[in-house]
Amino acid sequence: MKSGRRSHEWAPLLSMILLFLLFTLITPRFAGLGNIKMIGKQVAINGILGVSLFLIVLTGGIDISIGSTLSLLCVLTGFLESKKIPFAIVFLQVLICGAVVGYLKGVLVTKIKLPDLIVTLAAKNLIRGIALMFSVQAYIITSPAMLSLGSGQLAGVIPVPFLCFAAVAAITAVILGKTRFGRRIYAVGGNSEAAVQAGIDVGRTKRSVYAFSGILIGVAAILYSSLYQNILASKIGSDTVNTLLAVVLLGGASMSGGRGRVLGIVFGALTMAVLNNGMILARSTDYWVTALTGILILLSMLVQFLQSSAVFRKKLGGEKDR
Amino acid sequence: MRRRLDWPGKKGEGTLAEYILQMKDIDKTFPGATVLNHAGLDVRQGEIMGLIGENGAGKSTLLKILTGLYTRTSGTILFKGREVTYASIEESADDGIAFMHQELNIFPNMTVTENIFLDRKDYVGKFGMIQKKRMEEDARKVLETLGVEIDVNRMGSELSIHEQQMVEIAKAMSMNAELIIMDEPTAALPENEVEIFFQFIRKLNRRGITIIYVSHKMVEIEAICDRVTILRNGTVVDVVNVGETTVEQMVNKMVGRQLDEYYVHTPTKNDGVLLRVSDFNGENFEQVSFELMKSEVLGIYGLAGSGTLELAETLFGYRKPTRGGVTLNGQAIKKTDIPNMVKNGIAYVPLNRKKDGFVRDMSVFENISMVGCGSYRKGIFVDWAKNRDICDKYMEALSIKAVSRDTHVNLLSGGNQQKVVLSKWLSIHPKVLILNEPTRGVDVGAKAEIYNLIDRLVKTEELGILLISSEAPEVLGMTDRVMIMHKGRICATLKTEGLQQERLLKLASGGKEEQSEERQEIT
Repeated sequence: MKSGRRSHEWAPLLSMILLFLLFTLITPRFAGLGNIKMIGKQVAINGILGVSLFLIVLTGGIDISIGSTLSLLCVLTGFLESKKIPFAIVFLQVLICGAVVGYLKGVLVTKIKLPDLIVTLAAKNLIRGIALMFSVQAYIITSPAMLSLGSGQLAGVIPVPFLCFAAVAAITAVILGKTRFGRRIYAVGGNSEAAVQAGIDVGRTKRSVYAFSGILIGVAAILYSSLYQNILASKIGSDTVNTLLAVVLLGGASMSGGRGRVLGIVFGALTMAVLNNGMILARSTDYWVTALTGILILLSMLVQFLQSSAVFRKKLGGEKDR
Repeated sequence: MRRRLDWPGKKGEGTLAEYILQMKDIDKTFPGATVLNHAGLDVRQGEIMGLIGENGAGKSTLLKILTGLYTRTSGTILFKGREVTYASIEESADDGIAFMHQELNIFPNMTVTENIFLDRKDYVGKFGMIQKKRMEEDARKVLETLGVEIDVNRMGSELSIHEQQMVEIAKAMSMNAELIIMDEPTAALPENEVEIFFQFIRKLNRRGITIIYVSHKMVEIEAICDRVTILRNGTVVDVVNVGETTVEQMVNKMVGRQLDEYYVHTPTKNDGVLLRVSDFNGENFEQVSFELMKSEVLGIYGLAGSGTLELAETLFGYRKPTRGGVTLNGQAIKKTDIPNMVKNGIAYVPLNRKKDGFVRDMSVFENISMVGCGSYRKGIFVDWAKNRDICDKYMEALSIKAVSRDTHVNLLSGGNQQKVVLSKWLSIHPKVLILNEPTRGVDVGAKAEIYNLIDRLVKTEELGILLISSEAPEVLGMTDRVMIMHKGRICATLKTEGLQQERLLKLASGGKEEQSEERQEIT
């Protein structure tokens, strides 16, 4: 049998297509161009955040403070915008700030060697607290550059937020697949002990990943501000973690690290977006989206488990004793 | 039989003088402990140098200092005649020193190619992109020169242990290593693959690669090494030529005392059947029937994959039998799951100690009292004081070397960890003790102690021992009878006394016996 990289991308792709067909049958409006554009817009933020969580998960870690980091960076965007600072500078500052926040999380995880669940749980509360402090009243985004970012379309068809998501995904995919840094991330997640022996600085790799992930949260924050214009920290990112975990798991990543590809995450994010959008159009209540997400995750995990245990059993044929 | 004979012309006796590595007066102190005290290691160009010593003698510290994982307190290192101090593994690797670790460092989520060339800067091309094509070609070339057939696109998780080793060696070769350090390289290899691996090492050696070979297995040291450096308590006790020194002499120097006879077991009188297993079938074994007598050590010998592991795990209730039954003291055991087996007095010391044997993050006491603590109670509460006494009793009886009973088990040496596992089971006074490779990864001194214990147990306690092992000398030295398994079936059950190792190996690898009249078959 030809063996190579085993791909898990078909599972989220399949569930996305099935959901899409299902909603098309239920509500005729669903497959209309307008709504598909809408899905394209809606997928952007959770998609980018999904990629940023995926990076952490790849190293074998977890970050549950992504939602509150998003709210902080959104508030920062709103604050800078209210000072009439040019877009390019706002953009840069938010990205840098995202990188710094991410790097600090990485420092706590790798230098003080606290479990990442604890660090990011604490960070989640701390960051949200700071965000709330600076967001007593809502910031309203009015600058034309920001507004056109949120509502612009390429060739009158493709929403700009979706393009941003596609660009982020493509760049991340290239970094992960083709650069030394990317392969180090897989190495750290696959077997961190072996990574140390191979001369990889595991701590530094993890810190860089947290910083990189922070930059992506910054991109998402800019998009969020341009899409929703009304920024109030208490309204942003409170249940993001759940959705993002769903995206990452549906996308075929393994929580123990080292496995998964960006393409899978893209499909995972699209699945979640289709689900959300379709349920709203079908006039279903929110509860159903939540419940269905649970079922979807279970099913997708089950498929992956069966697949990997089939592989495992075959492998066991010769090697029993490890 | 000296191996030297079968590959003449490796090196003339006259040209031996050149040293590739000289480590002199190496001291290493950790806060509170001196680990190395004027230790050294001189390795000649092109030789295979053995490095032996008990756990804690300082072998790995010495090698970690060489490769830059640790810094030394004092001393000098000369590699290829140049004085060096490496700051990291990367640096020592760049200079031509490769380190093959005991736990093979394969990335399960990466291809063979990537496992060989991971994080190598020579393959970073334009814009920081990795040149995959070139990397794959080179991987193919390296494996080819080694004469190994492994598809470079296979994932690490799909490789057998032997293949993983080959990949590790390919990695070393691709770095143009001139000195390869092998730390217990055969620890995970089945015995029948060791010889293949040795041929491989010799091939490497003929190409002029110098090797430092670390092992607890004296048989291997004797078979593969030219010279041996013996460490004890952080000091070099002696450097000997393998051909001129016996294994006993080396072992005695290593442990610093006269080891009593290594395999101490003497036959016991068998009084009655203890355990009867009849027509037992399960995953990877079938039609297994045997009887274990009281006060008997019954060996089960088989090569890897012969079904001994599955048989042991099924007897203990970890796996389900598909057919057949077990009778203990004349009573059939109906429910074959672990809780019931333990209740009936069947105990199992598993093959993979680190994974299945003990709980890493628990103390010696917590591990030892894990199974038996409920037996000592005050009303409905566990009597911990009593349990602590029991624990101390076993720590003393088995001479477990730990600071206290509250020491974490993962801080102990392999031998002491194994004794903790044994104590856990002995504390419930089992009737049948199943030992699966009880001396794997255990140093010589602790090995002797475990053998002593086995002998003492069958003579003083009312129990029978099933000793599963793939080490022929162990089986021959420690059992009363031995069952030989091949492809899931028992192909012979023989009295151990007078049994030859060749015959054991032949039977285990499926060889037929000529119908000789003095066949020692029992049952």
